[in-house]
Amino acid sequence: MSQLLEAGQKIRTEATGLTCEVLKFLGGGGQGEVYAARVEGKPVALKWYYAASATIEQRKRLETLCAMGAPSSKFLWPVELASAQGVADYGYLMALREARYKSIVDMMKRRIEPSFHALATVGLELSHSFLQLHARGLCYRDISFGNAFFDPDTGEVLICDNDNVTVDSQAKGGVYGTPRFMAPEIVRGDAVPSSQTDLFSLSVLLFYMFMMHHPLEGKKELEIKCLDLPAMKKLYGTEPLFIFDPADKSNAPDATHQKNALVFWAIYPKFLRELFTKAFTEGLRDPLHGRVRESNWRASMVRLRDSIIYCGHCKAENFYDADAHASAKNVQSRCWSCKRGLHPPPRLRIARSEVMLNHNAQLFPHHVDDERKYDFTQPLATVTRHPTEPDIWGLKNLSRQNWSATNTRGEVKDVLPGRSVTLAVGTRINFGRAEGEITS
Amino acid sequence: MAVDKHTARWRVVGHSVRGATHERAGVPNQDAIHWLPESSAGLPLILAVADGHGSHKSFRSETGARLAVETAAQVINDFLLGQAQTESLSVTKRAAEEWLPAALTRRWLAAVSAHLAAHPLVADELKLAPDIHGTSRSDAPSNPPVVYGTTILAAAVTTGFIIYLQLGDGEILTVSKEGAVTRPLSKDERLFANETTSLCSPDAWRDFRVCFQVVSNAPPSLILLCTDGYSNSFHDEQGFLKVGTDILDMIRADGLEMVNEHLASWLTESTYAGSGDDVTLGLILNQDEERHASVEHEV
Amino acid sequence: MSMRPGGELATRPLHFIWMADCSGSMDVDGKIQSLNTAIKEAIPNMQTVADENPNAQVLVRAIKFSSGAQWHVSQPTEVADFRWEDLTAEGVTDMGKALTMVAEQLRIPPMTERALPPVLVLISDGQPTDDYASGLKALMGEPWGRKAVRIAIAIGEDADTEVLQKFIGNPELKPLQANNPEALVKYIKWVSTAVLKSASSPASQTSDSATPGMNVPIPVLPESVPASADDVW
Repeated sequence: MSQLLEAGQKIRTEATGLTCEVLKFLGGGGQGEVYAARVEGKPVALKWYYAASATIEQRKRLETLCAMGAPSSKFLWPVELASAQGVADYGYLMALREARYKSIVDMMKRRIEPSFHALATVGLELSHSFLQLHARGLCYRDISFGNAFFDPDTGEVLICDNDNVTVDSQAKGGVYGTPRFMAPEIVRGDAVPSSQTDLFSLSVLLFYMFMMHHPLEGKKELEIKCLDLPAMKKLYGTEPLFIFDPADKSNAPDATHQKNALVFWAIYPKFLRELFTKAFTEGLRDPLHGRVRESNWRASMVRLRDSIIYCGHCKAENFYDADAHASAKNVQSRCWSCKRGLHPPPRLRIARSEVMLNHNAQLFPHHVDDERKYDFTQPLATVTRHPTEPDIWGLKNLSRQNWSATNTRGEVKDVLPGRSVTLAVGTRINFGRAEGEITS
Repeated sequence: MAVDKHTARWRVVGHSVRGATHERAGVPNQDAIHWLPESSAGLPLILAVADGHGSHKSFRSETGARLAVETAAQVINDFLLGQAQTESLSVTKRAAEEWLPAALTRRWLAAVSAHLAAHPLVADELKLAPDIHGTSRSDAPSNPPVVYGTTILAAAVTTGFIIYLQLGDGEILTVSKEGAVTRPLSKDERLFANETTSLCSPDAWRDFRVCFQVVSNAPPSLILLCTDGYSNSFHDEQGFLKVGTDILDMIRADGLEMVNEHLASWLTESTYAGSGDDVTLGLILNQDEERHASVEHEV
Repeated sequence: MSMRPGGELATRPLHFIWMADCSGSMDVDGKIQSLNTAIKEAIPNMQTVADENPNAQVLVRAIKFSSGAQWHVSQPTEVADFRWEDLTAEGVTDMGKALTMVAEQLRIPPMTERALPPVLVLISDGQPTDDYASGLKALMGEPWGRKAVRIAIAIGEDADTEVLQKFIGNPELKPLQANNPEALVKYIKWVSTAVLKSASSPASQTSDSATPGMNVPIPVLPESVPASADDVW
């Protein structure tokens, strides 16, 4: 039920002077309401602020954002301010969010069940996008579930609610974020939002996505009977403690009420757990030097995605934990879902990457070309099955370049575009700018 | 940061009636309704309604429903008191969406455990007839919450905002001053053909739907909460939604008390001529709507 | 103020559909006659159940399948008005077609969202002779198809119980095996009383998630690459 504007109402865009017609109420938040609208026949979204949020400061902020433009297409950015004679306050126009994007809230509510593959992609795109935002000298300030949207099938990300983005270290006043995502120093009142505090929020968001649980809410959270300001300040600000803090178990997750954290934590490979541990131990205490940087998250998300393997019995995604295998060579890992033995497929080792060669694995420019890191636009190789011999698997060349493959007998053969090279242990493949080796 | 506030007065009324089917079978009413403050007026005003499952596995669901409405009202009340000092509505909104469902679920589970400890299952309860699918009864003692399984719906009105929350089937409607009827919560496609999400499901907090509505200049005139026994008694969707506009018209014409007096008979008629299920209806009224009625009755 | 708010009140429809095998083999040993008798005997019982559960509006239909499939009673009929015309047996067993036709009737519309879960009773003595699997897929593709109470009665030893089990779709409920007329009468009676009664006042069900396992091909390293196999293909 909308309260600010009505269908059919006309608003004016300030910079371009066009008429915007309000069509339908889409939803409301803490600061305002969003409507589907139309400008020159084209569909747009219009956000309109509640009187209490329609400050001069917010207006100035929006003007800056509209002038700067979005850091990338992954941000749903304010385009233009809008207002009208006789209508209180103001709003702004932006693109409509496509229906395919769902939020983390949808994931929490079990309306979507993205694969680990998609989640790792979300993590990768979120880290990459925030890096771009910060590189522009901006800080987000208000990262939370409600702003991160993604396509559950592909993992493509769309970051919304960007009207609180400010220039780094000028963020005084306005929204400070929500306690659960705010860096402890802000909750305590010792600091204002900055790109350093954004890093903390990003790590909370990633933790939540992968563990379906908040990193600071263990037993201590259950002890809170009444969620008031002092309680929030203590849990997230003055006495924050990671639920998996290696040195202090007093905030460990409760096995009955906080099961998700325990179940999921055990599924992921060691390197990811170590990164989260750093984020919520050093990262809690040391805003300047202790936090995990976006480039670090980004690289880890790719590594995570490349380590996905499938259970042959129940199809569930598992992870190949190279560290665990290195330390315990003969222990067979078990599927976290059906508990039966896992049989990892062969791996391709290229430079510092290791890619699991699943039935659906793909290689991208990122894997084979140092100059094209994080380029995942077009696959240049895919795992494929021999057309007549079902026991023979290969790697198909989807690129335009020749590869050359050297088998264990030392014979070198060309792998022309469209052809496939048999997966066999010891086979080395030269992709042009990098060489990989197949191992088991 | 200043928060918009409105100055209307609010009141709540409601009633629950045992279903025709249950009357015939000698089964108690497994719906429940509760509100705070108990005087039914003043802010914050909280209304909760619940529908116990009544399946052979959930044989204590009328207790489950009663515990659900009582704990929901209390948890929400405590939450609102705790949030009174927060500076921004966004904080409260996020806390309502993220913390409240889990807190409510935990408090209900604790209440259920306490009840079970005080009243252990007796032989009769364990000997219930199998249903047509012949599923084993073995999960009754080992999973206590199932025995008390219920849905929960709630609405809470404060000076600055209204929270609607729902787990499972049932309906929440708002009626605007102009008589437009809307659902503040989006539909859950999983609730179909008598299948419902429940407080006793594992991770029940994930199945809650929450809507946080900032109140600025046009709060709803009427909020309705009902269990699905009521909505299922109407021939079609339009017939049910019309309840909203009809009741608002009646309140404007004859006042809330008149409506309250007739609630029991309307609900009884619905269950007998309609679904046969337990029927519960709660109404939160923005008393600005009643002004002209009370003015007319002044002597 | 005696007028009740809201529109017209209505009881909830409960669609009950007999799905009967009328293939030639049903003519042997009087099986089809036993079925006809059993269903006719069941009608008064259904009437009693309907009277005892006035909030469920039981609407009965029947579909027969042999060579092709046809509605035997095509209009949803209140039990009080339901009359059974004897089925005759001849032809093959096009069960898939019957399933598809029932699936069409379970779409919304003509079904509504507030209906009670329908009851489908599949009775067969043999093996389906058509594309049974597509028919079942169509049925289970409909939300009401999935939510329906599905019962199967196998008549005689030659009935394909695996197919009937797939129709039921619940490992805890097996097809009822009727090897003589008495058993058939007993099962038909059970379906039209106990099952109908239970379906008439269903309690809310919380869903259990069942994830059937599926195999996924995992690339393996060839144990020993045959000498003749090409490295590149």
